[in-house]
Amino acid sequence: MTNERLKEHVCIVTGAAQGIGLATARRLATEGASVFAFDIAEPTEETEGIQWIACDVTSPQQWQENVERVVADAGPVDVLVNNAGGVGSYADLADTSRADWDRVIMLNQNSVFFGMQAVLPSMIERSTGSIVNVSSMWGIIGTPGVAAYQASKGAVTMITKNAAATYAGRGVRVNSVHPGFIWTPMTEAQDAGITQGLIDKTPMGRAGLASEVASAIAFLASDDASFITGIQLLVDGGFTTV
Amino acid sequence: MRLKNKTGVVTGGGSGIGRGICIKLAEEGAKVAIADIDMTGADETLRLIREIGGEAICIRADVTSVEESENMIAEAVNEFGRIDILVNNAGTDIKGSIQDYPVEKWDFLMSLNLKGVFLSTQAAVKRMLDQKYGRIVNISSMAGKTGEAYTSPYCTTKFGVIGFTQSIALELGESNITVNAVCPGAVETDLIKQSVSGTAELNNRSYEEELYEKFIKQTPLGRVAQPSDIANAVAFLASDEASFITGSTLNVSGGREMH
Repeated sequence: MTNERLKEHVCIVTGAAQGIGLATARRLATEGASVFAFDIAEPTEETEGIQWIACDVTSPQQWQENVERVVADAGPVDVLVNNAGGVGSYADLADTSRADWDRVIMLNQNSVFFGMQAVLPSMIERSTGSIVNVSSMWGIIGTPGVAAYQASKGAVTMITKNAAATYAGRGVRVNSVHPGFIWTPMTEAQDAGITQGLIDKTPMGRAGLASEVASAIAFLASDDASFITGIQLLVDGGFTTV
Repeated sequence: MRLKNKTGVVTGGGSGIGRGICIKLAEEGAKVAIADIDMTGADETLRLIREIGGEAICIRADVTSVEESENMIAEAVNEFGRIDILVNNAGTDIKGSIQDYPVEKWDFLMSLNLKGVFLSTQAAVKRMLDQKYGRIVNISSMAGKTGEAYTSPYCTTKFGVIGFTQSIALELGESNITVNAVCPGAVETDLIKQSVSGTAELNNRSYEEELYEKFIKQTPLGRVAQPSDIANAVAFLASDEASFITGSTLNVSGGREMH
């Protein structure tokens, strides 16, 4: 009964070529959804139930065009998962260049704004929709360095609450998911010392898997969470409890 | 079925949210021990579970008693062989102003809402540590994060449940036992229905009008929760879907609480 929670739902997942986005696209597809995977990168392999769309999420124009494409192809969008993002720069605030700052804010924060703007009008019109924004545990608690990343993820947390508060009465739910340290190509690429330090500080004593974030996203996307809006769901092995 | 071959104990399973949780866990394939002091209510939950082809037993247990909490878990383990899930749901609210709140009622709420959670958890954790597996879900409340006038004892206990949840999540993290809390907003249980009907009469309003004034007006999603809304969140946290989630609180409040 629960593995078809998203039957006939049209879902968009951004940053879906790898990591959490890929796991989420696959998970939603197994729940019966028509999944449209947005990414600038090409997928490494085909997955049944997922259609790949080349989209630069930092371009509002590409958002509009590609959402129109999805609607023409499958019907109005029921679920949007704004997952695309990246660390971009590990620099301290004082050392963050203006160019890096702008790039990270554009990729992690503005893309979420563009994506929600692209799907909200039809969700409001149809009085239904679920948006899940992937923030981070660094969108809730502080950590040294990664200034632009923290600022952008904090902004995703708040724009989520704002959209939830604004559109709750119009049938649209908006929530954020906050991964802790998860094995993905993004985290595998980083300094091994940073990674080990984060795993050591995780109460569950291990890194999370992308599939464990995907299942939380699927829960919020589905009607199992029909009375849930404006929340921050942590998938961090207890990290922020410390 | 996300909880196939799992076994669980739900305290306060004989009515309201607890009944909804029992039914949902059974629906997902778990064998459920319905614990309550009200056996008529527990039997009704059992009947509803059997109606959908689920498997359950009733256990009479006062969770404020060390002995009865211990027996409750022992009986469940005896019956099902193990305990994968514990849902600490039993609890109640008695409102009153601070200047004349009777100490007996304060002690009673502390005992049921806090000590009860501690005792059931302690008894269950002993088994879960041996199994190297456990899912504990504590029912806190919106009042576990935000104060409410004339509700100081209840708020105190529900804030306490969150502190307890976070602390033991840290203790048990590496043992593959997750500990989380669910914070419901207003849920349309029989208890709430009764109270709304009562004040509706006093205020010369219909039930729907009173429900709107008391709860719906302040809820962004524009409705009150049904027990199934809370049960869905509990089932998620009790399942392996939430295997990397521990120490967290999940609001099911229709947007009334966003932190």
